This record gives sequence, structure tokens and C-alpha cells, in this order.
Amino acid sequence: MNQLEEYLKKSLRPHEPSLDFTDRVLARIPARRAGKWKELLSFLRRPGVPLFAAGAGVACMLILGVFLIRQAEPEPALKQEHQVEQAPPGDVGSTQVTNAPSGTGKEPFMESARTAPPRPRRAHSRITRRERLAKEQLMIALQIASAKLNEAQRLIFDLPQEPARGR
Amino acid sequence: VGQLALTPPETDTTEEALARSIRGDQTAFAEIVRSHQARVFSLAYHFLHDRESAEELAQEVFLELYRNLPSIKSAAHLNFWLRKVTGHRCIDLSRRRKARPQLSLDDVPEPSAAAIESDPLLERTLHKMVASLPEKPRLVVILRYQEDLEPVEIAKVLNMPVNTVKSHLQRSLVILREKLSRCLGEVQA
Repeated sequence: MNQLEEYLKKSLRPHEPSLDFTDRVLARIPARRAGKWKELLSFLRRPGVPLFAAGAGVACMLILGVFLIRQAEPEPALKQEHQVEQAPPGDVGSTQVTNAPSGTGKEPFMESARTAPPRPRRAHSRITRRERLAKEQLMIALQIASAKLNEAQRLIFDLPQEPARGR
Repeated sequence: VGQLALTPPETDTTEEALARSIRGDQTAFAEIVRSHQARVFSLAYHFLHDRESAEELAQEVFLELYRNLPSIKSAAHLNFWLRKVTGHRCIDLSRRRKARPQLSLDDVPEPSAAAIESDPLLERTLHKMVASLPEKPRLVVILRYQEDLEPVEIAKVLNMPVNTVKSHLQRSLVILREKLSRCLGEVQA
């Protein structure tokens, strides 16, 4: 080692920082926040449980929570339809006239559908419910029509044969 | 990493403090800071030639160490990590300060008296000369003569080829010798 290198070694010898250096470093450590995160991590990281398993568990819980919240949410359109279904049953015929799609009087279902804001067709269960309602109405209408036809047929066949009138 | 060996008692103490720090013991972390603060601060101080900035930078390095404690495998790894992070932070800070006027070799005041061994004025002059070197050669010189690292170890810390380290070292010594000889009249080769 030559003289210059010796000079350099002496010139670049280590220096001590100020006396409170360590205290200032420790004061800058975000103790509380780090502590909370460590507590949470230690809670999740039980002995023998790998980190990815804990993460997967948390993710599953979140997905399940979101799913349950969405299920619990009441949908306004469904509620209105439900009210239609639960309407007090009166005369079957008059009910059909009232609820029939071709009716000209007050139609709660159609009116609610008309006044409701347009919504995207994304809920499959909502469409099925409407279809089911229409199907039920159609079946009742067919039953009434069938009963009327039977009555008419019975009247026709039960009529006594009139003798042919001669001159 | 394995080549950066420490003396066994120091290594044992550091290993123990490291293990306790990772478990969340802040007293153990304070021990680590106390035992390494001179090294980290001096690296920054010799590089930046500014005591206040060097303390600030050293604090940042230790805070980063605290955040990365679980990734530190051993006492030797801790030394390597501290040198590497301090070096990179010094270069980053120096680049951010590019707009500020830098100390030129011509601005270094020449000693008024003849040089003698352990002359504080000579040391100060040499210190300023080192501080005026370009960033990477400066860091190479500091790691070589402050930390007493071999070129191979410096290459690992700075992540550069060994030949580049050697070339930085030789060129820096030529510049320093030239300037110092101008100041002092004669420096043995």
C-alpha cells in the first residue's frame, strides 16, 4: 500500500453520527401501525398454516360475504311483482279480467311495468317470474274457457231433438 | 455474501440481535443500529460531504432495514445489505442534487503548511478531493478505503463487473495523486 492509500485510509476512517442518532431512528419507526398489521398477520398465520392458505380463506370469506349481501338486498321490481301475486283473491273471472294482458281496465302488473324505469335484462330470475305469472293467468283463462265450452257442449247435446215440422 | 466475514463474537451478537429484531424486539433493533450506525453514516458522509444529509440518509437506510428485516438472513448478509442500500441511496441523492453546484477540485483549498502524518488539514483536503470524484468512482474509493473491501466484494455490492471496479479505482487514484502532488509537492507512488 503506497502513501496515498494510507492517507486515504486515514481520511476515510469511520465517523460517529450525533449521539441521539439511534433514538431518532427508533422514533421514526411507525410502531402502532406496524403492530396492528403484525397482530393481524399473526392471527392469520397460525402455526402450520401457509400464507397462501390464509389468503385464500380471507378471499373466500369476502366472496361469500358479497354474495350473501347481494342475496339479502330487496329488489324493487320483484317486490312489486310479489305484491301483484299476493293481491286479495276475488272473483276468479273478474281477477282474470283485471289481470289479463288484453284487458282494458286497470292492470296493476302492466302499470307497474310501465311506470318502472327501464332496467337491463340481466336478472334471469326476474324474467322467469314474469313468465310464470303470465303462464298462470293463461292457464286460468284456458280453464274458464274450457268450462264454458263444456257447458255449451252439454247444452247442445242435451237439447231434445225437435221433430221436423211438416206443412 | 459469505466473503464479508466478521469476527465470530460480533457475528454471534449481531445474529442474536437480528433474530430478536425479526421477532419484533425494538431493543434488539436499537442494538443493530448502534453497532452499524458509524459504518452507514460514514459511507454517506464521505460520499455526500455533508453531515446533515448523511445523517438523514443513514436514518432512511435504517428505516428501510426495519421494513426488510425478515429478508435479512445473517450478520454477513446484513453488512452486505447495508453497504449496498447505502451506496445506491447515495448515488440516487447525488443525482437528485445535480442541479445544485458541486464542489470542484479547483475549489479545494490548498494546505498552507507542509504535510505531516495524521495532519487534519491533509485529511480534510483529501476528503474533499474524494467528494469531488464522479459518483461511482467515489463510491468505489470509499468502499475500498473506508470499508477495506476487495474489488471483488465491491463489484458484488455495486453490482458491476470487477474490471470496472478496478478501472474506477486506478483512475481515481491517478486523479487524486495528481491533485495531491500539486498541493503537497510530492506524494510517493
